[in-house]
Amino acid sequence: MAFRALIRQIAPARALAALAVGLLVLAAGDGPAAAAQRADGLGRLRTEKARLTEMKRKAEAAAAELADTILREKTARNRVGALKGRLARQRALVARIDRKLADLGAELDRAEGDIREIESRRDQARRGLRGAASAAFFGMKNRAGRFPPGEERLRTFARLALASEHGRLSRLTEDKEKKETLASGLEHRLAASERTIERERRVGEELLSQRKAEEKALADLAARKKRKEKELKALRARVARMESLVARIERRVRDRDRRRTTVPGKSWPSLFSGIAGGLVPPVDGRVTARFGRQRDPDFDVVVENHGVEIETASGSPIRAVARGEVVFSGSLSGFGKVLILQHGAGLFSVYGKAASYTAAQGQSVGRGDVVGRLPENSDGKSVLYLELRAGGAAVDPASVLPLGRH
Amino acid sequence: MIEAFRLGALGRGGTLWEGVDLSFGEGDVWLVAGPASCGKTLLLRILRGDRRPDAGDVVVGGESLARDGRVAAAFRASAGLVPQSFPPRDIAALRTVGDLFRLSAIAAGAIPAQERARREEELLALVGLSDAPPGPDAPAPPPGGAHAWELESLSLSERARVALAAELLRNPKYLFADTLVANAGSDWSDKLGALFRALAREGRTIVLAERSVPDRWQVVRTGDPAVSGPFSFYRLGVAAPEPKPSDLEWFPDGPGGKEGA
Amino acid sequence: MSARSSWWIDWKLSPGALARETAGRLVLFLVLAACFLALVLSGGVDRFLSRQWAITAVLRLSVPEAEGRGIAAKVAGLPPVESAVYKGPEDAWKEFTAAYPGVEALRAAGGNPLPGYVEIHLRPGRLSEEAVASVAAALRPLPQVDELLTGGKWAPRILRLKRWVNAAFWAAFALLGAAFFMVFAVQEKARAARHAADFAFLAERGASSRGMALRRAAATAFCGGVLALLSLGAAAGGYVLVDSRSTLARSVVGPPPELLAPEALTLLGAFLVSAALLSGAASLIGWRSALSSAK
Repeated sequence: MAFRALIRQIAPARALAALAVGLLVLAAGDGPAAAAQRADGLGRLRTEKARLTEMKRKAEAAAAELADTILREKTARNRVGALKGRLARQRALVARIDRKLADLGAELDRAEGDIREIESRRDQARRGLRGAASAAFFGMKNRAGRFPPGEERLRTFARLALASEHGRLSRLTEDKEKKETLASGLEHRLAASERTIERERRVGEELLSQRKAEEKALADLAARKKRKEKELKALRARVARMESLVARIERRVRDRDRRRTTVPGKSWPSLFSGIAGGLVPPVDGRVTARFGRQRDPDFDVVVENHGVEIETASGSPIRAVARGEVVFSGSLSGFGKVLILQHGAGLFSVYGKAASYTAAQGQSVGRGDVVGRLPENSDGKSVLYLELRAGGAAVDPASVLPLGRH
Repeated sequence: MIEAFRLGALGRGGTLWEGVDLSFGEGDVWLVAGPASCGKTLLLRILRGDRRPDAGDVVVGGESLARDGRVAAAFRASAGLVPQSFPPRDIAALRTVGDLFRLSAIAAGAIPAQERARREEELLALVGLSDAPPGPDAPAPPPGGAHAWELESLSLSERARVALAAELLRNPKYLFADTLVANAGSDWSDKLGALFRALAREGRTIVLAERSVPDRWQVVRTGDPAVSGPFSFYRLGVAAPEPKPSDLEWFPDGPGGKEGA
Repeated sequence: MSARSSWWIDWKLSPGALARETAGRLVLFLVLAACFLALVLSGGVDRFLSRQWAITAVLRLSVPEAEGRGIAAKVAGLPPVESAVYKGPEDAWKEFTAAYPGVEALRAAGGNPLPGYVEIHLRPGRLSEEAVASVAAALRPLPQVDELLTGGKWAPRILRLKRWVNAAFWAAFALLGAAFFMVFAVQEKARAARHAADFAFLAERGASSRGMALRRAAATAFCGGVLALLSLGAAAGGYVLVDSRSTLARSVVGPPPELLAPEALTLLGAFLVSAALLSGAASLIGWRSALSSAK
């Protein structure tokens, strides 16, 4: 909300500042041009106001877009928050599973301890049994001379003792088997639990990575948003500046044209389509930024381009699209070196991002004349900014020029 | 009374004598004389009842000896016997005069010891053995008086006399003596004769068997020579010269003693 | 010759020799009396067997000590039983481990697997299969009795054999007696032969030969009886001494007081009478044979 307010506050202020600057420039500009322009200054002001209103609207739209972006960011944050919550739940689940696992592990240890104990007792019993059997056998051999009744009694005792030991042994074996099945069950459960934990952990990790990704995405998004904002700001600033420049130039030209009463034998078209011979593309390339409202897919904001950007080989010469006159050659922040040509009444072509212009201000150029050169780029590609204005409004260059599409 | 009828005896070579009749009355001294080895001892034995006659019979006191062993035994119990050779061989208990007397006393029965001692002394004195030394060829007499004299060390005469004394100890009613007078010696024949007569006067019957009639004995021939076989029977007259009082005091109770024959 | 004088003729004729003979006879009689006493008390192997051999009534594990003692008391009241002793599980265990030294381990992790038992000894005189069967019949129906050990298949054989062994012992005694009788007879014959001439001498002088023989036999019989009595007494006294010094005597032969039991006294009386009669018989036999050999 503050943003919007702020932007609402800033935008008109800027516009006003631009207006002020424009006025000053006008004031410091060509006498005649300025005087010529004063004639329909009110209309211009109205147009300017409309344009400013337009700009304010655009700014508001941009603010709204930013708000949307912020909203989206919030959503994203909410998503991140939700992810965080999910992660926390996942962590809790993992912790529970860990505890369960620890319990199972303890149970397993107990069961194994029991099994070991039973094993040892069984071994003891087995050893005792073996010892008893061998002792009985050798005892019988050694006591051949004993009187039958005593011998009989001892044999009965031996039988009873061995039978009880057998019983104990079989019970111990049963116990051991039961414990072993229990232990294997526990092991299965343990394995299952471990698998579950593994799964959960993986899920958790996934979630974590997801969250990290989301956060990263968010950060990226934020960064991008920032960049985008910056870009937007720059773009808009640039657009604004261009607008102001162009507006200024148009005004000047208009003023100048008003002051000039005659136009030596030229017919000033007021539309590009009215230019005799058509237009020729300034460079051979493809359009990388189209004209008009372009929606930024990432942020769902709309950026309005008043011109196109054409990508071509670096260092290519820039040709004038039509016959005309250089009315401005200078630099503009965001566009680098700018050249504005007037081709008719209110028909201007603006060239930006060049390395140098060969045409000087006031010079007349023909259609297709080299007016400048694009900079050399390491990757062999340079971009030319082209704007066509007709009657104070930007016109889609693609509609009047045969440009390659991307 | 001893009577014999048609006595016959068999010897080694056949009949010794046979068809002997005799009759000895009681209270007399009878003498049977005969040559050597004619069977005098045998006759004596038969008469005494020691032997059964091979023929004939002996009747004593009306009872036949040959038929009834008990009668013979009873007769023998009351008939003393002085055998020809003395002491008899193989008698383990006869070594001394005392032994002889003891044996005789056993045969006699219950004689009180005192009475027996007195009788022994008297008899020994009678037969002249009480204090006389054993004999010229005998060693010094052992202590204990005559009872300790060994019979082997006595002379024949002494032995005969001791045998007589032992028989008289029993106070027999009958007395059979075999060759006694001859054994006793000629210097004792008179005394023996007087002794026998004195015994006969007391009611005893004495039968003597001799080779011949002793000297100076006044005998009367009896019996039928036809039925005497090789024997000659004599009777010694019992009438005697004046008896000395000491001769008559031997058996105050008469013949047979207190218990009879 | 009177009857009285021919009594104790031998003593009158040769007292010294007769005394020596009598002393020798006393020794023989001692031997005989000792053997006889032993046989009377022990009945041969009966005493030894009844000590060594026992019927064992193995009780169930659950039977308490009081019940066991009660059963033992009840069994001790049966007629053929001499002693019935209850032995508890601990005694059974000690007996077991004494016999088989390696089995202590069996008890390590469990209780005593052995139950108590009642050890029954039968009377020596009642040692027979019927007695065993009667005791078994009394014990088998009891619910506390788990098993009845009567010596297995050896017991009936041993019981049958025992009769033969006892008979053998008595036969040996009889043989000994017969041998001594022979010795007496020979002695008598020798004496009769020695004194044959004496007896002939006496017989010449009126002693009844038969009477003499009978009186001599009677005297010998009397002496024999006295000797038997003395030897019995000495043997009994000696046995009492031996019994006081060692316990073996009691288990093999028997306790001396049992000599005073009526059966034992009867047998001792029989011994006395037989000794007298046989001595007289020996005398007569000796006289007869001396007479026949003298002829």
